[in-house]
Amino acid sequence: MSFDSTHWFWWLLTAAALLWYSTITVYIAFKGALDIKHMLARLKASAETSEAPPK
Amino acid sequence: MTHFSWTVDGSIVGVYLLATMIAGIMVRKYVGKVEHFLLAGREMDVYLGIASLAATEFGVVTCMYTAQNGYTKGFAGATPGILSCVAMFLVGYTGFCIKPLRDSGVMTIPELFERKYGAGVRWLAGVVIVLGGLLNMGVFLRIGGEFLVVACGFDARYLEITMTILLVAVAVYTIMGGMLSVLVTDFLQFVVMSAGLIVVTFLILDKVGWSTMVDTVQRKYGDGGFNPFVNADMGWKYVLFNLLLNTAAVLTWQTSIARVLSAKDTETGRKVYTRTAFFFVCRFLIPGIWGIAALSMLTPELLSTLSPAMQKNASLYAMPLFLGQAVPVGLMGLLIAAMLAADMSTDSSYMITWGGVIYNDIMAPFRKTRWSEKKGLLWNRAIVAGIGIFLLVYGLWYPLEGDLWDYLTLTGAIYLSSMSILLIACCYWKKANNWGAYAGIVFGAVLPTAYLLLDKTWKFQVLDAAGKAVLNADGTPKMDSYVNWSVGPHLFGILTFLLVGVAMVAGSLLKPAPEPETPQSAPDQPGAGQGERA
Repeated sequence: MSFDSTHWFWWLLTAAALLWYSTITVYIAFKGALDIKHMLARLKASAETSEAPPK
Repeated sequence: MTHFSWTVDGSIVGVYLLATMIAGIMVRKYVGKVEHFLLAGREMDVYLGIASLAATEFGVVTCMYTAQNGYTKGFAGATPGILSCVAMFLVGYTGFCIKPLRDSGVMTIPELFERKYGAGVRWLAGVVIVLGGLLNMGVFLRIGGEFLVVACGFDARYLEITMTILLVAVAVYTIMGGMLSVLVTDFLQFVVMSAGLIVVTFLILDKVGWSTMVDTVQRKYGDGGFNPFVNADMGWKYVLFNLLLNTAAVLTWQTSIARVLSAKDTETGRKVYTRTAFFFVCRFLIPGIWGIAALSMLTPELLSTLSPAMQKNASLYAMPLFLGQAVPVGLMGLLIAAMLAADMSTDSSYMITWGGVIYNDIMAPFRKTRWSEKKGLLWNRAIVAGIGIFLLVYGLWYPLEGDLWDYLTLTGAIYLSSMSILLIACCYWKKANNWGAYAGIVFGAVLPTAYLLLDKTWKFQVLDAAGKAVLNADGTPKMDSYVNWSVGPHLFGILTFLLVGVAMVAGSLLKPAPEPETPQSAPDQPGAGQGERA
């Protein structure tokens, strides 16, 4: 996919889309998993707090 | 003959489906309240939000209509994606409407409307949102099933049963875990879907070649294949309508706005928007490239292998037909898993978010006293199941004709035009009131519905310059509708937005000012008439 100077806009947009999407997929795969872990921990903690008997 | 192998590709798909079901069902134990079920307890962080929004907004149906755009309009067909990206980035960056919406702490947009316009507007807005959303998603199942039939070479007789099994699987984890299951499965589905989309696109670029695709678009569509303003099927009306529509969708589309409302705070919601914005370019451009590759490589002989019914709308099915020929064994499994991931994430999210409006807003008048969390959860689960049944029934009998994107934009416009204008007025116009809101909702719903009905019923036979009947590929006379010929969906869409805006302003200004002794509970006083909320 060598540079297309005639249709440079679509060539650049396609290259940017593939580069960005490839990068973000790997990044989100790691960071999103951490988000899930933290979200479930917060929900668990809040459920335990609401179930705890009043002191 | 496609390259789908039941042993290799079927195993990949099976492993993906099993992992999704396990993940979706496992998180059900965290659902103890209605807020957990509908908004994941408002605990969603940025990266999970990006994965979920991206996975939801890309279904098989998206892949089909964006590829159809590439097939019929060339690179210019990706224009709506660029417009959507710009709109989402600007809304996220400025916080336009979404900041006051998230700050208010509501569960749905109609709930915010009640504070400004009263309980009646909340209920009516809920009805319109659900009507537009369900009509929109009604075609998802069949289109998804047809993709599988064409790309994998499945027997079309098994389309309905395949769709039903897939929907039941999605419904099971959505009913059990609500938005929590949706977010967790969306994450898995985002990773699988993205891997499939990226790998297949690189394969296509390698096999077909950029210059072949560019030459094909130039030969078929000329400069219009690269520039929407000079494309015979697009022009300024298409661009302007899509700009309005995509901006309205960013502001009010239930699945998008649910991510803002599920975010742990307003800042997180805005970041989800700004950082997902460029995905909307990929969402149109990547399948668009698949469609252009199909345009470049498919011969009339190959297209004739489609069923007679599909040949009537060949531009829609060209992309899966091409992929079935071009993608090798092994990668085909990844592609099908990616498409199933795309479809399942979209279906689950649509069921939970539109179900949320039914419970929170349409059923609000029936909750005179506060319901227990248990009762609320039971009702929400029943509503999601009901939406699943509707999808099966409507998806099986609705005969889709013409351009899929035009159908989706028109059904979406039933509420997008009115809800976006009501939301902007609610957040930023002090004089907006319930008269204007009612007028806006009525205009916004009636105009697109009338267009759809007239487009289906008020038709004429197309004649050529010599006065002879123009025939379709199957020999039947070609028909067109008067509304499509005289106004067209794009100008009609622009006029709908315009008229809804005029109705909102005129209605609000026509309402007599309240008497000085009027109590503060008048429905158009912000904060008044909040009533029972979940």
